[in-house]
Amino acid sequence: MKIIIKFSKVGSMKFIGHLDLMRYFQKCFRRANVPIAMSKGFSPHQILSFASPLGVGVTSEGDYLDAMLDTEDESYINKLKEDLNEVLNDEIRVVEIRRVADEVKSSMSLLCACDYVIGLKDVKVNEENKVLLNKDFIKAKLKCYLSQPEILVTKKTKKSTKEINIKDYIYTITESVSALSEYTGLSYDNILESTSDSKAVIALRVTAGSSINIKPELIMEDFVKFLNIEYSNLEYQIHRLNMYRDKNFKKGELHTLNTEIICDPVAIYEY
Amino acid sequence: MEKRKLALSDDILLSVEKPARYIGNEVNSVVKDKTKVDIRYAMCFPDVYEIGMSHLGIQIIYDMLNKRDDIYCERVYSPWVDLDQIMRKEGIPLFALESQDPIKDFDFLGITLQYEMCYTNILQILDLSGIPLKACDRGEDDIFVMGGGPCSYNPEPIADFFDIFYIGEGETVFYDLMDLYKEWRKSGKKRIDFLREAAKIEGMYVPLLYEADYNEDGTLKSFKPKYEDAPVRVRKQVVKNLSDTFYPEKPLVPYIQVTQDRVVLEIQRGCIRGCRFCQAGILYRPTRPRSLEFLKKEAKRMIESSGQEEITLSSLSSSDYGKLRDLVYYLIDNFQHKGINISLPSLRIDAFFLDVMNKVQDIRKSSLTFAPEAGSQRMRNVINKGLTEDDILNGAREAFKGGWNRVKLYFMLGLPYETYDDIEEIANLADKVARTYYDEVPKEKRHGKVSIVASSSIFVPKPFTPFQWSRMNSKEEARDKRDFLIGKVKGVLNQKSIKYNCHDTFTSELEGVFARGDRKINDVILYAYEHGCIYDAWTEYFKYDTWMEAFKECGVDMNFYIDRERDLDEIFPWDFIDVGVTKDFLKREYENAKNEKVTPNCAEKCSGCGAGVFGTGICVGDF
Repeated sequence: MKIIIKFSKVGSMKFIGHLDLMRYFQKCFRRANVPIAMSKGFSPHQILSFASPLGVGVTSEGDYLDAMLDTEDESYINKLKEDLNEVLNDEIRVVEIRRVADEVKSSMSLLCACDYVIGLKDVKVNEENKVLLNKDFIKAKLKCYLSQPEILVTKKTKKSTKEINIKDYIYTITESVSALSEYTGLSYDNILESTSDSKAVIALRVTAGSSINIKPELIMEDFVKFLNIEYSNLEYQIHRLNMYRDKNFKKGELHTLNTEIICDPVAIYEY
Repeated sequence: MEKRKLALSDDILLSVEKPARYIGNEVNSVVKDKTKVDIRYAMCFPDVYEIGMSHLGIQIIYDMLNKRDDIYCERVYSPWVDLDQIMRKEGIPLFALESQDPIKDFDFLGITLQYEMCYTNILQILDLSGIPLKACDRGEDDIFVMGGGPCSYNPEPIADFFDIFYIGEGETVFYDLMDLYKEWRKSGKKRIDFLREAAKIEGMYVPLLYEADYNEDGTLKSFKPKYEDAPVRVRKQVVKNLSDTFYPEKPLVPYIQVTQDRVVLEIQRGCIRGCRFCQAGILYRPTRPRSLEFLKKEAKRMIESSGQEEITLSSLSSSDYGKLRDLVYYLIDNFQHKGINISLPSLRIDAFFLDVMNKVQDIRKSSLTFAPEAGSQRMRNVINKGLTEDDILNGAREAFKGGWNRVKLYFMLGLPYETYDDIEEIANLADKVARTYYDEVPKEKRHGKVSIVASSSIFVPKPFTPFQWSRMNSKEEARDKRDFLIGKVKGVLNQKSIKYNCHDTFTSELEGVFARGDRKINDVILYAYEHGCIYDAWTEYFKYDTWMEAFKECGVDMNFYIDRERDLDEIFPWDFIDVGVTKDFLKREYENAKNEKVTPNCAEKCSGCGAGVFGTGICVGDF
């Protein structure tokens, strides 16, 4: 059966990169004796894949991992969560596991949006940037920021740097997780102290996925510069809150809030 | 949620390469309450994390020390050059991975010495920790710095930096030393009192208690203890029963990929072969196998507790392990279907090998490895390498028929009594292997060309080998020989199928000096370190000119250590260490080398090397 595992990754585990995390999970599955399905061929490997890589330095409470199991016993899922949490460390935890139909496409291909919260690290608060923690100020400034006709940011790829308008890819930007919660209608655990409402600068939902993937730090940088404050990426903690798939998904089409068929996000493991 | 406290800030960790090197908390790493232990021990591999984490020896000691409730053993590795600079600039003290506490606060720092080119990294570790570099400058409250591992069999070039060397295998008297330390601390006696008592434990060498006198020509005149109660000779430690001893039940599993990212099963210690260039072959005598039951049990336990997807066997010569078949088939039958790869070391090529390889590897992707070490049979007799051309060509033939088409050949240049004819034979042997392929495999069955990679390293004479008296080739000679060989490889029929690689000649010379160096070398290493040398084993950081300057400034002549055949009765800096194998045996073997005379291996006939004094292993028929 196919399952989707929702997990969190915080603390020192934010320094573990995507490929290393994959290997870490593979070893955890083996230690926990999980009947995970193996690919065919001379060097078989476990059938699992992440919905979206998490950058080094970024934490998460809503990341997802697809896996195929060699069992159809649905009651095993609860045990699996316990077994995995037994072998995982304190900073990577399984939040929930759900079964999905075998024919469901990979979370990676269905991903359409992510929610993030970005907080100002305690040690980085100074005279100039402490205004970022003033909720009324940020709320007002966000209104101006979002009412710009275009939001142009410079996107660097391996090959080139280009300026793109990301306005269509921003669902919302708010001044705290509770404000984001009002917009999305979802509740978040927001498990990190460094991104609690008093320390958060912005909380946002943006387009994500294989065709367009908006990195939250791009917006943060642009917004901080918009406020005429000097920006350094080391000052902020980015925390991923959740990931979504598009209910209106159609292969080859990118949906946002401004497309003919709009993107209708639901949590990535909700079917 | 409470964050684990790290020694380095987010800013630093996000600005260095591979921050996971410094955060600890790996799977199976040990967490203890540091207020509830008596001894804090920092175990160090003085190289980058990925190398250090691949070392089995540290894991054995780590597991062994942590078995005791009164000891907390943690790990520390060399910070990579990027972090090294930041730590110096910001004055951040070096810390242990588990607790992230400064090393300076520990009771012991144990450094494993696996190769000579790590010597400046030892000073890096001490310096970043804020520990006085020289043992004689350490005060009553300073940590005790210990050394161990293969290079401690000639500890003299680095003797100034260590309080204690543990000579031999760690599993034997470590606990005794720890008990002595606890007693000493209760007693309130002086630092020197502990060191003098420690020296009485068999295998412990305390350099401060000894003095060296030199002749006018620079050779050693005498080497003796300054106190009557320090032993004149230090005997290496040997585990008597390797099937009833410590082995890491829960191997550490790193987050990032390390060099040896797999479960390592050490099947035996020692080697019966007696190759005359090989130091390990003498140091680890007598050959002692672990029992099949022990290995099966440990393999299962380690695979289950680590979740690793690969297991490898380790020993100096795995084909000589008596129960190899049973072990390998056990691993295949029990773990292969679970997706565990069985990675085998280089083995003698026979029916068993071919069968196993077909089961565990995609042969088209794997290559055969031979280590003839020398090109001519004459030369192989000189070095007592019991591998004949027929062995190689027959092995290759069988393997080629089975579908292999890639071969790796390992050689050494600069062996004693080597002639240019012997070197030419390296090219010829590589060519013969290629011819075997084209002769034996019909065109329609070939998977492309045969690929032969011949590599040569520069021979470095090591202490406690029959070649400890030999002159080492200078880098100019080595380069000439290499260039000659390149020419010869280009001249053979199948030159297009042969690729030749040669090891760097600069580091070999330095390795040669360190290997057989004396106490005068300490100053040179200190000078080089103070002038920016670290990570000398890494070609991109090796500063040849600084090293040359160091020798010059310290008034030490490199050639004294390498460019000289030693007198048979010269006193060597390492003579005070008793490895069981006698100097008489080594002299006999040196003579046999000169006469191209082969000595039978330990399984065929005992040659009375002296290791029998330990009363274990093959010396008492356990093989």
